[in-house]
Amino acid sequence: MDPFARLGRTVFRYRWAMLAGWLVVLGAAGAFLAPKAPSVVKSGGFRVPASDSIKASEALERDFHGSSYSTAVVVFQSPNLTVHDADFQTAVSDASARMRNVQHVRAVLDFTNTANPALVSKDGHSTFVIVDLNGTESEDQVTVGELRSQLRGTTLQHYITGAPAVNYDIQLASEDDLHRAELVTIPLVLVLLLLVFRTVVAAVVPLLLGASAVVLANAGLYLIASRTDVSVFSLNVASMIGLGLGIDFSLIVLTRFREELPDAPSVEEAVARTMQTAGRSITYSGITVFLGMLLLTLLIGLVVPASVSMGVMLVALAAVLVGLTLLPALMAVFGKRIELLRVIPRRRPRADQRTVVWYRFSQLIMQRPWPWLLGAIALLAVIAFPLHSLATTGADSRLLPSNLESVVGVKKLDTAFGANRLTPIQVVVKTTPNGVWTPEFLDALARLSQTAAADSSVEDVQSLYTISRDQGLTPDQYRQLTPAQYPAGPQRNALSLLVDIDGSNDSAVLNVFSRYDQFDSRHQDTIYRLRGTILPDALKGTGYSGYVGGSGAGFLDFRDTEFSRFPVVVGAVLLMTFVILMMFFQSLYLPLKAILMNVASIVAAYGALVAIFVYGWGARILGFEPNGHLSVITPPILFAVLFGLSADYEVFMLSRVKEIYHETHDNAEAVAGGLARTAGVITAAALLLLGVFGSFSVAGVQTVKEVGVGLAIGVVLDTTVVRIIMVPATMRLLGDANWWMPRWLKRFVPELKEGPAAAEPGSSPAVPVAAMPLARLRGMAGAAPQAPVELLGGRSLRIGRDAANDIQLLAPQVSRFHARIDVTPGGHALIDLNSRNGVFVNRLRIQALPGSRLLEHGDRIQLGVGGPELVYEQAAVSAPAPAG
Amino acid sequence: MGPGQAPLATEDSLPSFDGSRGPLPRARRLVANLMLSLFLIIVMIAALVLVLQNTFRVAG
Repeated sequence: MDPFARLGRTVFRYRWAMLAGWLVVLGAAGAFLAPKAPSVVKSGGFRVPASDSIKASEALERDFHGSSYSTAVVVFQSPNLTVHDADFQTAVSDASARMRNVQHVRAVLDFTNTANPALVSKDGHSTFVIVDLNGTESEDQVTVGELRSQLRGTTLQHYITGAPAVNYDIQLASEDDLHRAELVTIPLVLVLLLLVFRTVVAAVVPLLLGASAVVLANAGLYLIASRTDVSVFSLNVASMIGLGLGIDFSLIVLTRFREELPDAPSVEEAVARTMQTAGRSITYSGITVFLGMLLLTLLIGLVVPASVSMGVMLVALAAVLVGLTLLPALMAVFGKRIELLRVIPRRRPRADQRTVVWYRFSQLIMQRPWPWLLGAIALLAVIAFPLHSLATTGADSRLLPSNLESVVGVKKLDTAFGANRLTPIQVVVKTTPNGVWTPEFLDALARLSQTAAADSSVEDVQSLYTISRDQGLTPDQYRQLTPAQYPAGPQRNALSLLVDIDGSNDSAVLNVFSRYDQFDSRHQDTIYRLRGTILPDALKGTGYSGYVGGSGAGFLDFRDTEFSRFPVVVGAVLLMTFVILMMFFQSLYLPLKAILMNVASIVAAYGALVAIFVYGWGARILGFEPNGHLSVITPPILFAVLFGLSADYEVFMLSRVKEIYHETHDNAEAVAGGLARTAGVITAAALLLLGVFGSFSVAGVQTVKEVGVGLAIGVVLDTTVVRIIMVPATMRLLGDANWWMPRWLKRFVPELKEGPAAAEPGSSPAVPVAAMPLARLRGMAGAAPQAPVELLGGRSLRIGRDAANDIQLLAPQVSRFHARIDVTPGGHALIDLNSRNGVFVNRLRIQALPGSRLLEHGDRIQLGVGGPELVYEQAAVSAPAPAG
Repeated sequence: MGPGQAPLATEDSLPSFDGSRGPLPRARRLVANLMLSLFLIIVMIAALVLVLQNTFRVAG
């Protein structure tokens, strides 16, 4: 017996035990493992191990306690007072004193205790205070909340910003987004689910499946994240795709189950048949996604993209597991009661207009495949075109709603001090202990400061050299500097940000302020120049080591690594998918076509996102201020999720196509039939996903908005242009080559049997000829005058318009290969070969493939409404045929 | 009756959740169905809330 059918029967038999088992497993995972996942996953994850920026950042944290990751900045402003007014100074010192008492605050540096003129704006109305924090990333976020409450009484205008404050605000904005999404998504998805599944009982299933998959994936992520670094994005993505796969898998399986129920002799049989067909489909699509994402996780080598693909991978595995066990158990328990609590009237079984429309449309496309295919390619190319101006940004205040305090703070800083004061390029130069105070080192630092300042994109440079120069020291005095010249006091405090004067005196920092924003390509070019020529030239022959860091450089290292590895890894993922699909479809071109189209729709979705978020098209409708960038994590997230979803659709649709092709050996018929039979399900799934992802577009955090909009666009492209136009057109052009595979390759590629093991003429169980009742078909109204055909035991018989059929009926309602009568142990079974107009027995439409109906004496078989009729008569019984 | 109007099973002819096949009084059946729908919709909302919370989670 088919292993999937056997699984279905086993689950049916032990349905209550299965439900109870899942209740225990999900309860345990939900109570003990999944809730702990958020506490072990990490934010950030944008650092590239062993990169220049990481070495700089480690030196900054170790020697200067001042990495931009752990420094909050407080901007103080007054429209009337200046920093020289006593009231202004008192207010700032009081605020600083209060902030020093907050836990995890290591130091507070303001213009009074450092006398650093760089902390005061040119007009004197603004100053900023540096608050150095020493907690973990998440402790620092809590500290930001505490700092805000400490500043509440301050009379000056004040804004806390800097990386920890931005992270804190992302948290606040995400909570807002969650509430908004709950308000929009929940009603929308509920209504869509009820519309698509038609009964309340059936509508519950996809959400149960999705939520169970998410709980299991979270539990898995907890186990993995407590051993290695996993980003929080894994949770976000796992729940998005978990809901998506839950909906898809339930639709595929439940639709099949509801199709099988009326015809199957028992619920057990319906469950078995459903698992044999739909269960197999979801297994292979889940395995394809799982293996593809496993490869991505193992090869990409960067925490964020690896975590994202890990989330998708775990949830795909969980969804298959739940879909193969919990789902059939639910079906077994519900049985026919799945139709209870109907909210939408049952669709009339015949006259499925949509199916007819889909079928006709694909026939139309297949009549002129070239123009349609070229048109579709051109359309996708146009949509993808903006991709050439892709520009990305890291976690930045601009990805947040502009009314948040940290965002306002950055804007105030930019206005008062000139842009980019918070995000200098930080060059760290290292020597031996106490080596900073040697003339050679000071000379190198001077050379570096001068050449860096001469760069056309650099506005200003800050180092021990520039400070000494501004203090009026001569070059000779500068070369003779010693730490003893800086007694404890404001000056030493200011200097401690540039030389590790209170440590081992072996490193110095050069702050290079660019004229351009840290994500601007001109800022990035300066980093490349510093690394490529300026720094190596200044340190040539000295033996000192230097690293170029800062938040812009950290982002650049991440982006460059991601973008250089991504194409290679994606190539490997596609190759893997190709091999799996080749085994599944036993074809060379079909999997190639499938992955090419998969990539085409993802690339087009990228292009559309660039048009929206980089060019700002439709920004007002979506409610955001375009900043010319896409978040750097959006492309990998979109790839992982869209890859999973379109592989799912492709496997589902093509397995139906293959099913029909095996029956009819008619490529065009198989494509049109397969498309038509899956159209309703895929369209419904797409609508639901559109509802879910579309609702993320109301998010305030731009990354979420980008992902939501991108996924919505991807799903739409995949289910319209790709599915409706490109699939039929290419399959028509390839013709029978769709199903071709070189003989030598077949020997190496084991066959993964797909679809139903529908009784093939040659493979049907041998039935003793003598045991079969002799029967015949008699032509009635509309059937060509034809001698009754004897049906003999052991032989199948095919009916259709094509001359290759055993009975050829030339009527417009009849498909080329319309129906077949098989010999089964139970008697003669009538099978609808996915005909266009259906097969009716005694005026009731029978289920199409793989459904069948056992014929009884006197049954009237009609091919299509108003089509030719045949009467089935068992020869042993000599009753007269009923009158037409 | 044409092929498009095949006789259909109706909810009334389906077994109800308490396993009895006899028809419940109309009002009682309505209330039972409403209660069950309400319960299932609450289950759906709970599942959606769980998934959405996960979607919008930020580390920390």
